[in-house]
Amino acid sequence: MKNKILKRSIFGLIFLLGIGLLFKGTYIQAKAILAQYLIEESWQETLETKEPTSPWSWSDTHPILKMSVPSLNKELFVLEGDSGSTLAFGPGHASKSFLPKDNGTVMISAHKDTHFRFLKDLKVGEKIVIQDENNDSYTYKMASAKVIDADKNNIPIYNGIDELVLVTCYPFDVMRTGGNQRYVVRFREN
Amino acid sequence: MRFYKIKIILLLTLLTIQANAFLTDKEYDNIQSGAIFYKANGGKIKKGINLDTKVSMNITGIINRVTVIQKFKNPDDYWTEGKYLFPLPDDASVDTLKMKIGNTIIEGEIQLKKEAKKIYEKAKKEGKKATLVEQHRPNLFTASVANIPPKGEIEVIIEYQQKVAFDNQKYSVKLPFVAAPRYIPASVNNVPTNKSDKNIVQSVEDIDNPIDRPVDIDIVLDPGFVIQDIKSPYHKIKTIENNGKFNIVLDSTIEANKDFELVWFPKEIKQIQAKLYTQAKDNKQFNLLMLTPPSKLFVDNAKKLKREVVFVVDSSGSMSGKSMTQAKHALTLAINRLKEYDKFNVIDYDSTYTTLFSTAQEVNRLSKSMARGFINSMIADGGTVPKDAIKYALKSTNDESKNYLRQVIFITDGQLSNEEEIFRDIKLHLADSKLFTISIGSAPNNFFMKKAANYGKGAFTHIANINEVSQKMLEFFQKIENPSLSDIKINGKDLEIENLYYGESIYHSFVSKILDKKLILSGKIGEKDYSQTILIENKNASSGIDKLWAKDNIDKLMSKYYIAYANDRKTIKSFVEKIALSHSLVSKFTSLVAVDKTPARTQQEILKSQQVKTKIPDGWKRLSIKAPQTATNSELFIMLGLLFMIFSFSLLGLQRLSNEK
Repeated sequence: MKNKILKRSIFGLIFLLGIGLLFKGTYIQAKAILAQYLIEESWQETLETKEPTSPWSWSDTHPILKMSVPSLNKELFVLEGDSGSTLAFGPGHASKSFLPKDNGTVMISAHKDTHFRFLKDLKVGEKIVIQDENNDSYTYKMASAKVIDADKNNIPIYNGIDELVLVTCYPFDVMRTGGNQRYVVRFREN
Repeated sequence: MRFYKIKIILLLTLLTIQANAFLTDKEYDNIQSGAIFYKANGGKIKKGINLDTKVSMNITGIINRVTVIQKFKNPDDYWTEGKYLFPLPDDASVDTLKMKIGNTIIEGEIQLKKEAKKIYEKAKKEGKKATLVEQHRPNLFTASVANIPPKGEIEVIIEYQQKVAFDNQKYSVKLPFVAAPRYIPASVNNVPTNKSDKNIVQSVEDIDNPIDRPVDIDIVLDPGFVIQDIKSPYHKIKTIENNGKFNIVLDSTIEANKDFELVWFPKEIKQIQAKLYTQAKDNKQFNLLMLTPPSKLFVDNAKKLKREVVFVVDSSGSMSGKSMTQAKHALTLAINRLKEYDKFNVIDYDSTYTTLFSTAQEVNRLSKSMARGFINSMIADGGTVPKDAIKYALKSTNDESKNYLRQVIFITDGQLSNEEEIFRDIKLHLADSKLFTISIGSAPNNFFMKKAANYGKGAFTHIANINEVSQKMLEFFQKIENPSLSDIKINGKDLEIENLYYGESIYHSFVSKILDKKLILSGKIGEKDYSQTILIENKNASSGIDKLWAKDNIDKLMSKYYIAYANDRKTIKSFVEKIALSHSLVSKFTSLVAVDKTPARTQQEILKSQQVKTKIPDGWKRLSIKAPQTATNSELFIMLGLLFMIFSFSLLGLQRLSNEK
């Protein structure tokens, strides 16, 4: 009898652990999705006021660009900065790279299993539209994609070239973090 | 009809863009090196090449006089305007501008910022060559150069002076170039093997020719005392000694990609050194007092001061990783170093703050172990709102606090908002506390941190290399544990500076009608009274002590300016203008402007030049950025979660099955 209770409680424990992990995983996914709704609101405000607007009061970032992929009917709000805490909520613009209006490389990164999951489906020639706080739109066409070793190579930022660089982790279908490979997609302005 | 409308709108947009400021504040902030910018058609700013830089330094005692000559070339076939941005040391006072065209040298003059701008714009329109030097931020200046001829050259000569720094037993001067990081060649060393990834095009990045930006440095150092060694930590130098003076040149011309630093070491300093440099000018005495602490701590016999230390630690998301681990480590060490007669508290903040104790508690085994638990449980996440935490740290005194040397130590890596509110809080609630600030990482708001320490009557340090956080923090804690000299007075009168800390010299500048024949420095070492005579050194009228005094005073006024309300700001502004104009210094409100009297360009050419599209070669690499971490564990978690659940069910099922049997 005692043995049975012990066994059952072990099963229970494993079950609870399973629930916990499931919850943690879904939480990360949900955070990524829900945050975008909140960010959308502050983006609207940004468009009206032309001022950086934080999506929630304790946030240390703000939406800076809107990115749309017409072929996939996808819209994303890009946040300023690409620290880990920012990328949890949305794609992040590397502060040291340029903005579309500046005539230089625009670099945006996001997680491969949330916001940038769609990158693997993009084909050369496909379009991405970026809108900035002045409501100006910039259309970019995908030019190339490659995989780099992030430990050995940085992403070069050029001036004088209207290009967009999207960065996410690689490979897509492996469930692990901390890898050194990055999938780098380059777009040229139309 | 519609066509015309569009044309007019286009023209209007173009005009407004042209009329806009050259770069926005944010763009200025992103600029990392001296560089010349051109305005191209449609308002886009293009970056050109900084051709040639020559720096000569003349260091006598504690004053460093620097001349920077930058030669720029217009790569275009048109007349153009260039804007050149250059970082200078925080305490640099720019007082001279010269523009050299061919063999003519045109001297710049000091004007109110708005006036200078007007003069410059007018000259620009009239086709005259002109240069304008403005201060953008305390350590970032801009020089605008109008009407550079096609394929022509203009030389801009800027002079400034600064005080030599003494920190950690060494004297030093720095010259920031803070150029963009060096080019790192990218190669495809990870050819994808997955055949389904058809999109991957194998392309090799173009490897740029390195940007040609040679810098020459030539230094004459007259330290005024016997020195042990001269070093340049980041560059190779050649040193020639001549009668106690040194001539230092770079071993080879360098690329402006690393800040230049020159350090020299004095022989061991046995006791506090107090020296006053004085210069007579316009019936006034301009004075600069330098206090240097002894090389070693002489506190053994004097009783040490009792301290109440409050640590305020940033645990926001940006601290995650190494910064947090190292900060935790240093904090634990710092608490272990406290003496049993000290008191302490720890406050941890992100979006909100939590405190270890409500007010500082005595150091004993219990409080230490509670602190360890508190520190270990800090997790780096959430936003950055330091305001309330700092306020609480300053206000949470109790009846006994006045018997202690109360030190609040603020540690962060973050960018901070509402700076001015924090400054006001510090001023309002500081009372007898001292506020020390430590910033970590490559992009903290050092301007704020330094100012905060100034208002807090404490000291500031910046730790750029994350790997050094724990060690550098400990050095800083050691330094402030025991002021070498506290309660500092001269001839019985209080100074604005209160404490001289181990390892760091301090300057104090003041002006007087006549100078007392004899000056006595007094204060306390530990609990013991101390006094000594100050050595007075007379300097000649061109030694620049007056300019150092003016710069210090402007800095003091500006620190008040940032926290003042609108009305007071006007008054402060007029004071700053007065000092800056009479000492010919570039400040937030004054600029240097030089205009060539002869028009260089005819009106027709002007028209042409307004349509210029610059033809700087595209694709100059500005920098390269490390790709961030871009995957979460979410899928792994979900997968494992489901597996565990299925596993537990199947175990249960198996057990049932065996039971039935």
